[in-house]
Amino acid sequence: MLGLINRSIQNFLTDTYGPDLWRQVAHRVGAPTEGYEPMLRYPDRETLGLLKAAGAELRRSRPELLEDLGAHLTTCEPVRRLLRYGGQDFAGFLYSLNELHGRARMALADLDLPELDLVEIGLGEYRLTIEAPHPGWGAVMAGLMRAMADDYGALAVIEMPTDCDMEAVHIRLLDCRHSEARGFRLSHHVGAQG
Amino acid sequence: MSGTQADRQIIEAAQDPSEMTAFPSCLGRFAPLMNALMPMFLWIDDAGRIQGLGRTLHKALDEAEVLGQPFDRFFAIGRQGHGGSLCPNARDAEGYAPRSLQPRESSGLLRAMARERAIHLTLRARPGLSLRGEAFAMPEAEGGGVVMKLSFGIYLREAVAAFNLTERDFSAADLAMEMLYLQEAKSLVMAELRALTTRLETARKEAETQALTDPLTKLPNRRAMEQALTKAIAGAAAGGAPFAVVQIDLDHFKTVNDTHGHAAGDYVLQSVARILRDALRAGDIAARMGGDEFLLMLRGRLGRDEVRALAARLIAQLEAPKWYGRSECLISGSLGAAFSQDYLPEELGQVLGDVDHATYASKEAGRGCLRFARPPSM
Repeated sequence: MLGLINRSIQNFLTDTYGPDLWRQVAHRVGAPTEGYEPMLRYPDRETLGLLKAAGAELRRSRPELLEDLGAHLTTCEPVRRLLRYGGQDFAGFLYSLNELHGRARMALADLDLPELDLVEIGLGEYRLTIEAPHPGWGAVMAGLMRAMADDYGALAVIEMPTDCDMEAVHIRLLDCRHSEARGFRLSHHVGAQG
Repeated sequence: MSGTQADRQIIEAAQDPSEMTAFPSCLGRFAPLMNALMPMFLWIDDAGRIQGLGRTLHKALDEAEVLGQPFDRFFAIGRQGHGGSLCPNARDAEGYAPRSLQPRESSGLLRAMARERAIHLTLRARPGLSLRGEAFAMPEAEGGGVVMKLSFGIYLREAVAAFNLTERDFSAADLAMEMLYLQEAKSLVMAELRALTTRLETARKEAETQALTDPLTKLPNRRAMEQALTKAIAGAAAGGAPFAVVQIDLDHFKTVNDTHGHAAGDYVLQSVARILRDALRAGDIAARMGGDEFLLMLRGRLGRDEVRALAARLIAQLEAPKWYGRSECLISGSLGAAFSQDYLPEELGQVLGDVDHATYASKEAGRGCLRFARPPSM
């Protein structure tokens, strides 16, 4: 897996639980002490090992941890901005998830995000199914969508159904304009000159 | 963005009467559709007056009153050149020197533009921003003139910043959003790669320094000295600056180690390194070649007297008692020296062997002294 993903886990653990916890986890799995290089590749088992070690250290279940990781991703401003390119409102953002895999590949060919498929199953009700080589992306997406609903100022109930064979997330969009959305201006490009 | 959603938004926006422009002729009938599909369109009549324009292009003109106004009040034909002048597109170079349009001649010029594949316009209010697009001649029966479909092309990001454009300002079929997304993602990826390259370069330099440094004394090691000598020999052989080599073998060092222990020995080696380092001029190199053997490379054309004086100073400093705790460590040094200018270019490889012999001669002569190598030609 691309180091970007391991690095995201590292940042999540460091920001949320402090550098000591990260060092313990890194020590358990034999991760590079200086951390992961986002642009280099690492074996998949290292990423899975990281999650397992973090879960054991924190005594938290994997889905819980992954949901928090998903939410944490949106606290990184460049990531939040790229996600906000998805649409003007949360409904637009939900539909844009169908293109997330392609968009990510367009930006960084090595970044293999899961294939997502959003269908509207009723008025304001959606089901997002996830196709990925490793389980767990459903929980990451649930956490990420909850945080993005807040970002867009939308009121939504986001849950992971247990009755589904595939990994899926169920979304009930109650109000697209529940509260003030956080700012997003195209011209505020990160790293833009002036 | 979601297709159906965005389309709906844009059609709604296009049907907003305030955003409609009153066109005569067929364009008038299609105004909302034109606006939805081509928010950057521009229609100019045969007299060179603006008859209609899309909402995004209107933003790019700072929402000025433009309908019925001469086209060339707002636009110049051609694109902003590097020298600050307008230059025409190569494809429409035939007779279209960049210039201001005269109302009388504009009709013919605009119609000629419509025959070209691509046109470039520059905003008079923002000379740094050029628009790219294509022009189509309208039939006389439909009002005549020229209709252009424009885009910001490579100036997209500047335009978004200058006019504070949003997703709504682009048609859903336009790749502008993807372009902006890519630019933003690309600059993040580039920043990561730059950071990675910097980290690797730092690590490489550290590794290189480590590979060339003696860990105990922090002096350059044998490998570093050999590299420097190879360079200096090649330089001297090619007529470059000469140099002198002085080898220093410590005397009685084994006794220090045996009597006072290795820690005392290490301390003595570090003291020697300090003495040698202090004796260097800029450009000179002192290296620990291994064990108790050191080598100096002194740049420039030195005479025997200068080297003799240096050797006397070094030997005095080496012989000064060194205290490791309560242990008095006494050493001295046997020195051998050679000068590159005593050798023919093809014999320079022998310098190191000869200087080693000279050092051995010092030891034979009772230690604590200097001997010069006998140059091969003498």
